[in-house]
Amino acid sequence: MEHFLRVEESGRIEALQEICVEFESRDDIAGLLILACDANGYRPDNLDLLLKGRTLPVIGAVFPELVSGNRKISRGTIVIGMKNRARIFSVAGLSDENVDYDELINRTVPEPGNARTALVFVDGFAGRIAALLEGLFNNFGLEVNYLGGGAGSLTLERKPCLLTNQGMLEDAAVIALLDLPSGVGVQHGWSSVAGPFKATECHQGTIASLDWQPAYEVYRQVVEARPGEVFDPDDFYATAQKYPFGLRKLDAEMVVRDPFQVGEKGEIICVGDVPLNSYLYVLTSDVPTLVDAASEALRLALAQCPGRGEDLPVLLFDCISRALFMGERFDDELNVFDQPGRTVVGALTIGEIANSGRSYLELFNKTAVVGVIDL
Amino acid sequence: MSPSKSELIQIYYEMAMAINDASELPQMLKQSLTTMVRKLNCCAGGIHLLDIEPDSLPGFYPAATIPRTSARIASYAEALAQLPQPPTRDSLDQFSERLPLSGSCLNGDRFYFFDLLPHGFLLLLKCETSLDPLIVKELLPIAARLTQAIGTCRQRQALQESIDHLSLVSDELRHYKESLEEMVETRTAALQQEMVERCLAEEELRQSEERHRLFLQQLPDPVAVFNRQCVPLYVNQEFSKTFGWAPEDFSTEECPLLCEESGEKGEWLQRQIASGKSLAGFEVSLQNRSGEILRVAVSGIPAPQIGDAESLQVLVLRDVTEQHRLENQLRHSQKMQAIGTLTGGIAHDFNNLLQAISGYTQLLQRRIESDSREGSFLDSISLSTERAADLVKQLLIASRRGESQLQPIDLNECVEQASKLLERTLVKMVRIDKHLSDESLIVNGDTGQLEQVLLNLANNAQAAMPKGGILTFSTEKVELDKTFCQGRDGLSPGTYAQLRVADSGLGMSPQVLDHIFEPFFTTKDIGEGTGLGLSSAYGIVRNHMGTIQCYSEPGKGTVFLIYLPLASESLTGQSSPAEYCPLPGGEETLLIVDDDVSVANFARSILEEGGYRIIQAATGEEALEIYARRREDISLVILDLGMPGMGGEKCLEALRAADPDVRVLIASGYATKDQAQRVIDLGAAAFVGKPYRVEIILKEVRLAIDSE
Repeated sequence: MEHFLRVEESGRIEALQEICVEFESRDDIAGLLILACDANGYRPDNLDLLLKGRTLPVIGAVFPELVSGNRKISRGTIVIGMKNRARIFSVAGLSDENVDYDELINRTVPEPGNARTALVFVDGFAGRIAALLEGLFNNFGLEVNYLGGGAGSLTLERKPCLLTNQGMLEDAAVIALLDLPSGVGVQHGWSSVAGPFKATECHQGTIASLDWQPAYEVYRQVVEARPGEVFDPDDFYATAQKYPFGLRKLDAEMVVRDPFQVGEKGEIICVGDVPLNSYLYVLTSDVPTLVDAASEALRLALAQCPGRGEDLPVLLFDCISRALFMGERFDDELNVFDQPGRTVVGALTIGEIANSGRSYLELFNKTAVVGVIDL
Repeated sequence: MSPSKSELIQIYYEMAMAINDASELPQMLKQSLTTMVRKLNCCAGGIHLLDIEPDSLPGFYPAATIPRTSARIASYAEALAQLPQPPTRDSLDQFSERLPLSGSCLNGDRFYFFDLLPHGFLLLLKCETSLDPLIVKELLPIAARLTQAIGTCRQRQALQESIDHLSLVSDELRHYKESLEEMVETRTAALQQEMVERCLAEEELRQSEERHRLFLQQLPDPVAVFNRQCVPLYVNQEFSKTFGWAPEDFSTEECPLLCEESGEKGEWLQRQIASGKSLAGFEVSLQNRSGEILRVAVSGIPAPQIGDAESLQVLVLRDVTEQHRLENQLRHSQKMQAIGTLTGGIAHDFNNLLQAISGYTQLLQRRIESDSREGSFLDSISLSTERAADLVKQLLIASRRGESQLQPIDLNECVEQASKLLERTLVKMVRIDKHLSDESLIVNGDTGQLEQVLLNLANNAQAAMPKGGILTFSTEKVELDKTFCQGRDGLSPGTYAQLRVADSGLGMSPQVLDHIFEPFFTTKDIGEGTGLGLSSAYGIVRNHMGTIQCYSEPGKGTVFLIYLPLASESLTGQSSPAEYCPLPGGEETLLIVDDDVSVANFARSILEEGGYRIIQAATGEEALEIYARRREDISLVILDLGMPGMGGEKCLEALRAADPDVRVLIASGYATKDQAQRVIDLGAAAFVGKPYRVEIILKEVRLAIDSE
């Protein structure tokens, strides 16, 4: 894969341009996967010209940080030249309540063909990511392994963050259907410390009340009951990143929802949707558990590629808040993946997308999604 | 990782809430299934409902599957193979009795069928892990809940369909109502427009009818609209004026225009109206409301038939009674004029003949003793000649060639004088009644002639009353207007004396009435009348510038009405009768111009007897030639008027042109007073009528020679 991978850490558009031109000059490259750091400062006005000038199909996104090998990259771009031509399509209006994504996807890609893997990048702050994933699952089902995550900036500023041949997109999703098999492992390592709390008022990712009480108050009391935990009024996330919410499902880990902001009326805003009347648990974890979970995710992914998984590159989508929570010890997690002879690239995302094994497709938070695929 | 009991309850609760959340069946099924698949961590799921369409084969259809492509999942298809094939009611029932049903697929996936009867079943596919039997059991109430929700949704759906249908029907009804309202509105607008147009049309029609009504009303001729039964439906004012029936009379009484006098023409007219045929100037006698018979010229056209309306006939009934009367009068006048011309010509010739007979008789009487036998013969000849002259005179009067000596007389006195004479001469069975006006009725008349008229009328009345009766003379002053005078030749409007002579005799038929004033027309036996009585009466009255009319019907007597213009002043220039003088003579040379040789010779004989020298000429041209040669010798020219060639008048003019001092005596047996006056005006010295007596011609010759 080295021949098809370029990691440049300047974050300059010219550097990206050079890589793209180089890959486009090769006959064995059929598409471009571009993972960029938010710190690069890509905007439509300085990048769209480059994107629209591409002769190869482009799919990509801007993430808070990237992963290359066993280290994080805060500035720069990773470009992967995909050997197999991908069918790429985008979905605009990812917060639009009136769009039936099931029908939209069915109309856009009526037949998945031989697709085995779907790369899915979404605007991490979009309101209806779950509905999109539901539409993807309804249309493509279990025949496809889903792999991807939410793009965006840790500044929480909404801005164009998806890269396509049409330029940079905001509040959208971009999907590439690949005829390549893959293995996907999903694990997070969080466990509940309180709950359940019924989401009595919520819409998309915003929880207004838990058990008919202001959500933040309930959440604050739970967290601050923990030894040494006090919310900083100016830095909610500093504490909240250690105590995500969890949604229970049968025979699987809880689906984590990462609370990243408190609204003016005491509502808690999460990455990803929280169904009304669902029961939420307050979760917490520690670094070793999380590292173990990442290791388990890798194992699960490799298990789906028997015989040759060890040789395949790892495409990692790990949560930025997980990395923030783990701090410097996040390297321990990265070291789990970084083995001699194995290419590891990926992004630290705002929400991760995958189906766990042969089960339902979900948007996860604070989760390690490991894909094993020979792009 | 296995959930606790409370966590399971939360999962069940979330699934149950998802079921409750939806209202539309497809949405509810999808949402419920999604939640189940998601919460139970299944790899696929489906809700298959029993086809409830009564006409279709029994079987299940996938109402909701997750993913959409579940059928392509091998394990899912393998699970569906559990369904009975072919599906029948019985086999489906047997399958339903086996639910819930679970099993393993070849790849290790587990399938779970849950009973959603009577609607269908729920199929969940789990990969890698299986559902605990306890969980399966606890899912049954959720399946039941889903079953209930499906039933509710279907009921709601059916209700919604009913509502939709009702809504559709309502929409259609509303649409129809709106369409109807629009149509009503459009039609109303159209009707309003039609009403406006109709009002305008009616107004125009009303005005048109008013115009036509006024037009018909103001037509100078009577107009009536008849139906085919000859019943008048509408008449104009002139009709009412002429026939007496007003439009409103037709509702209460009939309008019997046809009468006995209409005869066959009336029947023919009736048929023409009934058949709707046109008429043009068809003359027929009709009666008016008073029973008066009118002569009517009928023109008519069928009125244009509108729709099923009754066929009508428009008739113009022009009253031509007066016109007819005038035409009759004109025709009578022309006839009388022609007769007058004829009789005047005959009288002229007779006069010439009588002039010769009478003249030579007189000459012979001068030479033969009157008491001799020859003398008595001559007396008889002379008497017959005078009677013949009288007859000719009457003929001339009848033909208005005779001269009247007009002078102011009182018509009443004239009637009195005639009455006295008649009282002695009429048979006693005839009583004479007189109703004379109190005031004198002065007319310019000839007493003798007027008395002659009265005698003639009285004689005829007596003849009409063989068994006696009443003869009535009435006089009065009347004013004759223009209408009365119209068509009566020479009569002009003014004040007249009316003399009415009526008898109570047998009366006369119209056929007789048409001829009574013609000379020689008589109803009397041969020898009893000359046929000149009424014709001479007619001539006398016309010479008096008057008119005579006769009204008579068989059995109703006869009335003669004589109108004579009242005199405003006495006639001037009336010469008194000439005094008798001894036969004068002379020695001058006279030129006698007459085409009748016998007359000329008789005149020559008389005048030569009186000492004159005579030159004769047969024509005017010859007279001019002679006079030109011997004008110094000729003292007087005796000139006849009625001659061939240039005639007497032109000859007179030529003589006067050649010699303004020439003396000319006109002698003519056929000249009116006007004609005589005209030749006097042309320069003639005097006029003497033929036949003239010897002493008259000698006297007139001498007077003419001696005149200044």
